[in-house]
Amino acid sequence: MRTGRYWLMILLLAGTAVGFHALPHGRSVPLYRSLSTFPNQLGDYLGQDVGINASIRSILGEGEFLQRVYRKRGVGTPIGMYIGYYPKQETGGTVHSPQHCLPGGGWEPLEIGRMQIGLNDGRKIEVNRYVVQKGKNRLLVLYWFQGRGRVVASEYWSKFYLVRDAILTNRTDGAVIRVSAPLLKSAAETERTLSTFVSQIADVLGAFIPN
Amino acid sequence: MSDNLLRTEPRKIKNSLTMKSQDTRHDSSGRGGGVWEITRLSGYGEGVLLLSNRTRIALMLLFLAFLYARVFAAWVQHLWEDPNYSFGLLVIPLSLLLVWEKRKEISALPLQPTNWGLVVWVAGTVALFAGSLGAELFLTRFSLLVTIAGLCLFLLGRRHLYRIALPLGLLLLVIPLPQLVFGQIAFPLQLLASRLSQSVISLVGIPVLREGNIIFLPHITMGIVEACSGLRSIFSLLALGLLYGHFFEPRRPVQFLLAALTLPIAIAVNMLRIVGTGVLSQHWGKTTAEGFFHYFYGWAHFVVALGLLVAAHQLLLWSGTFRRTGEAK
Repeated sequence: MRTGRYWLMILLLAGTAVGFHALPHGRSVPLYRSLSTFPNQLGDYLGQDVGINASIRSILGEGEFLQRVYRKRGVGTPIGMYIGYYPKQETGGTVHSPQHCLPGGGWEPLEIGRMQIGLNDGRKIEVNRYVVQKGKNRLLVLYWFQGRGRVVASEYWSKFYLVRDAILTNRTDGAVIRVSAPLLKSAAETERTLSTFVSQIADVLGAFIPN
Repeated sequence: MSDNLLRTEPRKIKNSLTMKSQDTRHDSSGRGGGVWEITRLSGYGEGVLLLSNRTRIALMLLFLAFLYARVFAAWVQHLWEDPNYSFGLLVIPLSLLLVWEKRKEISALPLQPTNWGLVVWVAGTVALFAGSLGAELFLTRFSLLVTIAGLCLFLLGRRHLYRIALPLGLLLLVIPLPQLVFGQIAFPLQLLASRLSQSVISLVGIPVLREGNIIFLPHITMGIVEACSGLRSIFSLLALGLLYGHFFEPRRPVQFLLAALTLPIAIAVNMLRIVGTGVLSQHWGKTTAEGFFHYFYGWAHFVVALGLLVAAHQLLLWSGTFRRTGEAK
């Protein structure tokens, strides 16, 4: 091989190696408030903590996690809510998408799609709409990724923004929020129930997840 | 002027200091043999430190290792832990073996380095940085292959890259897809497997009911989970098909055809497992069926698939679709 090219390549590789090790590690950005202070009472909804079992907790990584069941006036359809927040996402600890968490728990996917939800302040957000089945039970799941001032449904875009923000602002914090309800009779009705709930928590989330 | 990677006359260290430069070629390519030599100032006024090719390659590998050690270690660990990609633990050494096997042939190729290699290398490096910052493992692993391709193009040339295309392609198959992508491909495959299995089972005369990905039979219930999507065997079979083609079929078009056939074969064998389980449960009971299901998951699955591939190959040869002496029709 030609000497000139070779040494140029070595120089470039050396420069890359230096640059690579000079890469800043993302800084850790904590929540504004701990998730445990997330209100148990949201309008009409009353919530109850459902813990996260130890084996799952150990694979989730470093972050703050919350799993609750809310019912309207304490007696309505149970709405499951899960929030997983990572102050810093690095290899080994990134937001897990329900698309690969749920199947592991025996919930097989039936439908994958998107949905728009209108929030109380007039904004519209796009969320993922996911129907899963376990035995005879069906579940309607809505989830999205929130953090660094954005609400994103697409996992691809979420990754893209992660890399972009890591470079530009050195921040890799973010959360995944998932709400679910049993799909009983009509899908439309369950969707309405969940949408209303989402608009309730959307206001509150801003007080927790850093912009 | 054509110059080769290896010169044919290795020189000893002490001779090179006293020898008048018989080297009238001023391309200053590396020399074979010896660890390193110092040339005298040549007529063109260049006093350069030349390293032998082995040292050059070693130095380059050192830098690559420095950049990719962690990526590579994490990759191997991932392969070890993820049953979907464990076949990779075999394929990585095999790929390296393929390159090693061809090393004389590769080093005899005329050098035709191209600056496009630099563009490719930059792309690879960007991918490494982006993947590292965004915790996107696929990207970091993919970047290793792109970087190697770029280095090859920039230092050696297209023909060299072409010769290592198969090993690189095999390594590409061994990079685990991002979980999201894997899931999105597996999901329709799962559904396809469920639907087809239901059709075939009912064709054989067994009453069957399907709800989503769950198949209800008189004696058992089968949940067609992601592991049943067949995606795992699609990748491993493709790797197997490429290797098989490399060793047993000299003609490129046939090699590609065989590689393409691995997809339907993989789907068919996957179906065979599901349908076979269903049929066995009907006539031999639940325990036998479950035993079959698990047993067929392992080597039996592979052996049958390989058998089908060899059969397909023989069929192609026997049918005379391709003329024996050369190209495809």
